[in-house]
Order: sequence, then structure tokens, then C-alpha cells
Amino acid sequence: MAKRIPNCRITSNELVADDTYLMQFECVTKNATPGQFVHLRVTGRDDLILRRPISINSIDTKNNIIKLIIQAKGEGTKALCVLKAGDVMDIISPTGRGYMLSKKVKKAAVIGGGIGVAPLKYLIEYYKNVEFDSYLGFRSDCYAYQLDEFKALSNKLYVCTDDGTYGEKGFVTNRLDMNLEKEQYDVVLACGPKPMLGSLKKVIDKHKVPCFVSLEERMGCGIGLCKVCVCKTQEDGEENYERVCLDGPVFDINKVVL
Amino acid sequence: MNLKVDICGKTLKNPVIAASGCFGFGREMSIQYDLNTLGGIALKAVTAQKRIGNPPPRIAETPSGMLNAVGLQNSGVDQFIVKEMPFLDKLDTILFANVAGSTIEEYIEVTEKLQNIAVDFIELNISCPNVKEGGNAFGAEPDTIYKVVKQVKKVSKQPLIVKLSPNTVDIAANAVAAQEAGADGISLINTLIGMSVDVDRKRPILANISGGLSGPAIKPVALSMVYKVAQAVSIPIIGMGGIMTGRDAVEFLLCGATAVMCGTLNLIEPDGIPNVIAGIEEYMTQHKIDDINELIGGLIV
Ligand SMILES: Cc1cc2nc3c(=O)[nH]c(=O)nc-3n(C[C@H](O)[C@H](O)[C@H](O)COP(=O)(O)O)c2cc1C
Ligand code: FES
Repeated sequence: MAKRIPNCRITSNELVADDTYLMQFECVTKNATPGQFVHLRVTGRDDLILRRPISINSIDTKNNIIKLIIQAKGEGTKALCVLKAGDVMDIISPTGRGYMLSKKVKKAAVIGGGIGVAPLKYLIEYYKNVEFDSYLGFRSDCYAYQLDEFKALSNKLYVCTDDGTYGEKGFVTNRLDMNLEKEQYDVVLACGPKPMLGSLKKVIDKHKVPCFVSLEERMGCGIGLCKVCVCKTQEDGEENYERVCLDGPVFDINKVVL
Repeated sequence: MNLKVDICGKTLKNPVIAASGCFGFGREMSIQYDLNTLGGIALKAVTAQKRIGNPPPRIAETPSGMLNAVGLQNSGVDQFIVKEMPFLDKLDTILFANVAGSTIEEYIEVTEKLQNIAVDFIELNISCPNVKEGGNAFGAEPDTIYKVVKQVKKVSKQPLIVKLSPNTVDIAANAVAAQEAGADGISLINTLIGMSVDVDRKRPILANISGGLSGPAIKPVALSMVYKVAQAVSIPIIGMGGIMTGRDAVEFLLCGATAVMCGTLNLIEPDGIPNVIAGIEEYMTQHKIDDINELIGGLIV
């Protein structure tokens, strides 16, 4: 359950790709599922009043360490990326509804783009009995991170870059599309930018595989109070806006309007 | 130490109320702390029919504040009664039903449906800046305020609190109009209309283009409006706008508010309101004040 923990100590914060940091901090977290996120205050910047949602990249339960991948993009994430070991953060954790796999799932594909690759690592680590093929897309070689870890954790690893500087040139959704001609997956689990999820939806419609996607939206409370974080959903012909922070961030791809 | 305050004959355990739209219908927050410790809860706005609200993005951060453009998303008053009231009924705190609409008829319809429901107050929201019709359009001028308040007052057994908009020429004249039309209290301020632009994309951040500004950035505006209204009316005032601490709340009490509401605070700190209540107690201990009522309107000028 989402709780405020006002004094989490950062143990390290290091550059892992261009504009991309791996932050580790101390926090006792029980029962955090993959796809869930932590909601961070920006230490030292009281003028930035809102928290930032960052999905969990990994949890070291033995040492009570949460790992996050943070992209220095806006003012808040830039300020988070310059925090140092020993600095303290005020967090709400864990929040949202993550990827929930039934026991029947034996073989799955994870597909991620850019910063959306981060939560997939915790997903693969968490479901130890499932065999995963990983499809990762980055803009360019210099933005790719944790490829060695994914290689070790995955059955097969496919990497695509927009400019061909690493792996295959092109979109990772095309690679999945081609592989689905021969590969059988019980489920496809995705996280990435809206345009990527839009292309993925076409691939999923064509091959008719169950698929769950994790969405991103600007957030306020992160715990379901304010309804600012919504995404459009469609069920039985009825359109609605649902909360990404509490009803998601993981949704059935057939339910969300992408 | 006495923290109890009285509004229209109803006693609040303490003067701190959760502001409308920032607390849902209480359920999500009930896992964070005991809601019975609150002075009251102003529920999310309800309208006659279901509304799906505005497209996202609905929020933008601004210096020491934020803009929102939720657009009154709610399931409609009938669903509110069926789905939310059973939970709320069990609470031992004062409830404010926030009523919104596009027409006077809609305000009346919603208020009528709430008559046999266990809410303590009707909070008439004539100040939402994020919908095309109604909302702020009713709240900007004394004569439209008078009209809608007069009509709703006729059907409301519960005391009627009128929530005023700061997006107006003369806030005191608006408060007087509400009082003359029969309002039992005034709450203010709702959000200030504002905008935020992404210069790299040359686009507004909010899909709705403009939204309502809230948080610490608006506190000075809110205080001056509460102070002005307190000089102009005799009915109780509930003050809000940017309250983050107990000392912020005391500022509003000194300016003439009988109670306060905290909105944006809940979006930042899930344990925010209990800390505000504790902060007020701390202030009272420091200043050797036994009864919170001594603070109300106690500003020395
Ligand atoms: C996300 C959000 C939603 C809101 N929804 C409502 C609403 O439904 N009805 C209403 O009367 N005021 C609504 N408000 C206004 C608040 O109740 C309050 O008047 C305003 O935010 C100023 O107080 P604050 O600075 O403590 O937030 C909303 C404010 C926010 C931030
Ligand atoms: S961020 Fe407040 S409801 Fe999702």
C-alpha cells in the first residue's frame, strides 16, 4: 500500500547512458509489484511542489534498496539526477497497479522503448518462473542502458535503435511483429512512449495476443484523489477517463484508447 | 485546549477541512489515516448527470503552485448517493457536498436530490474555471450569484455555503450578494484562472489550454480576499488557498475565517492535513491560546 516515507537515504546515483541515471536508495518495501512506481518529492526544490512518478527498476529486498532509472528531462528530473549518495528523499511508495501475471503464463514477451525499458527489468526479475524474450528500443546507442542485465535475464534479447547505432535499425514493434509470425507468447507486456504503444496496438490486433501496457501521464497526488492523471478508456462502447496512478499504470491494451 | 469551531450550529472537531476535488470521496485517503480526525471533508463536485471531464494533460506545475483542468469529472449525483454515501455515512466528521452545474436548474436538481442524504452542508460551487458553461460564469457577478443562491436556498434544508471565485472584479460585493440571497456561509477562494506554455513545442501544457491555479502561489491573494469578505459579511467564512502548514491556517483564521480548507496539500502530502492540525496546536501552545475561537478575526491592524 502506498505510504509516505519522508527520509529515504540515497546510496548512489550514477550516469548509465546519456541523460540517464541509475539511482539507488534505502527503503523497506514489501509487496511492490513490477509496474508500480514511487512518487518522489524533488529534494531541495520546494518551489517544485509536485511529486514525480518514477517506476521501479529493481528491488534488492535483502539490503532494502530500491533502484530507479531517471531521465534528466524536465526541471524536476534534472534536479533529482544531481542528488548524491547521502542525500535524503521524501517518497510515496509503492503506488499504482502493476503487471499481474496469472500462473498459466509460461512464456512472455516484454517490449519497451527508451525510459520505458526500466520497469521491464523488475518485471523479469520478479516472475522467475516465466521465460521472457525482451524487445528493447532506443533512439540511439548512447541512450541504451542495462543491456547486459537484460541479456542475462532474458531467453532472447532483441535491441533496435532508430538510427541503427546499436542492434537492428528501426522500430522494436516491427521486430515483434515479424517474430510473432513464428513465436508463441502467452502475453506481451509493454512500456514506452505513446507512439510506440500505438504501433504496438496494431501489431497486437493483427496477431491477437493478450497484451498489457504501462502508461505515462502527468500526475498530481499519485494515489487516486485528484483525477488529473487520466487516460481514455473504452469498454462496451462507453468512453471514460480512468486514473493512471491508481487504476493503472498497467492496463489491458484493448481497454485504452491510444 | 479547544480546537472546536461552530458553523451554522454544526460543530467541527477542529477548523481544518479537506477541500473539494483534492480528496475524492474520502475512500482513497482512508487508508492513509483516520478520517474522523478531520474537521470536515468537502467532497468532489457532483453534477446532475455523469461527466467524463476534460482530456489530459490536466495538470501543469507552476512556480510554487499548479494548474488543473479536471473539468468536473464525476459519475452524477445518483451514482454518488448509491456508490459513495454508504462509506461516508459511517464517518464521524462534517461532510460538505460540493454541487456544480451548467444551469440554475441543474444546481437545483442536484441539491434537491441531496435533501434526504446525510451531508451536513451544501457547498455551492459557482466558481469552477474549467468548464465552458456555468461554473465561473455564475460566480463572477453579484446579480447572477444572487439569482442562483436564492433559488438553491429555497430547496436546501442543509445550510448553504457558497464557494466564491477569485476571478472577479469585487469579491466583497459577490459575498454580500450571496448573503442577501440567503447563503449561510461563504467559502473562498476557488482557483485562479491561469496558463502554462511549453516553449519547445510551442503548445499549452494543458489540453484545456487554461486551468485553475492553486497551491502556495495563491495564498497572498486568498488571504486578502478572505480579509475583504470578512469585513463585508456577517455569515461564517471558510478560507482556503495554498495552506500547507498550521501557521498558514492561522493566517486565515486571523483574517476572519472560522475554518479553513486544504486542497493542493493533499496532492503533495498524504498526511498533510493531520500535520496542519498538529501545527495549529503547536502555535496555540506557543502563544498560550486555550480556545481557537480567540484567533478568528484576531488580526491586529
Ligand atoms: C485537482 C483539483 C480539483 C479541484 N476540484 C474542485 C471541485 O470539484 N470543486 C471545487 O469547489 N473546487 C475544486 N478545486 C479547488 C479547491 O477546492 C480549492 O478551492 C483551491 O485549490 C485552492 O486551495 P488550495 O490552494 O489549498 O488547493 C480543485 C482544486 C484542484 C487542485
Ligand atoms: S494523480 Fe491524482 S488521481 Fe492520479
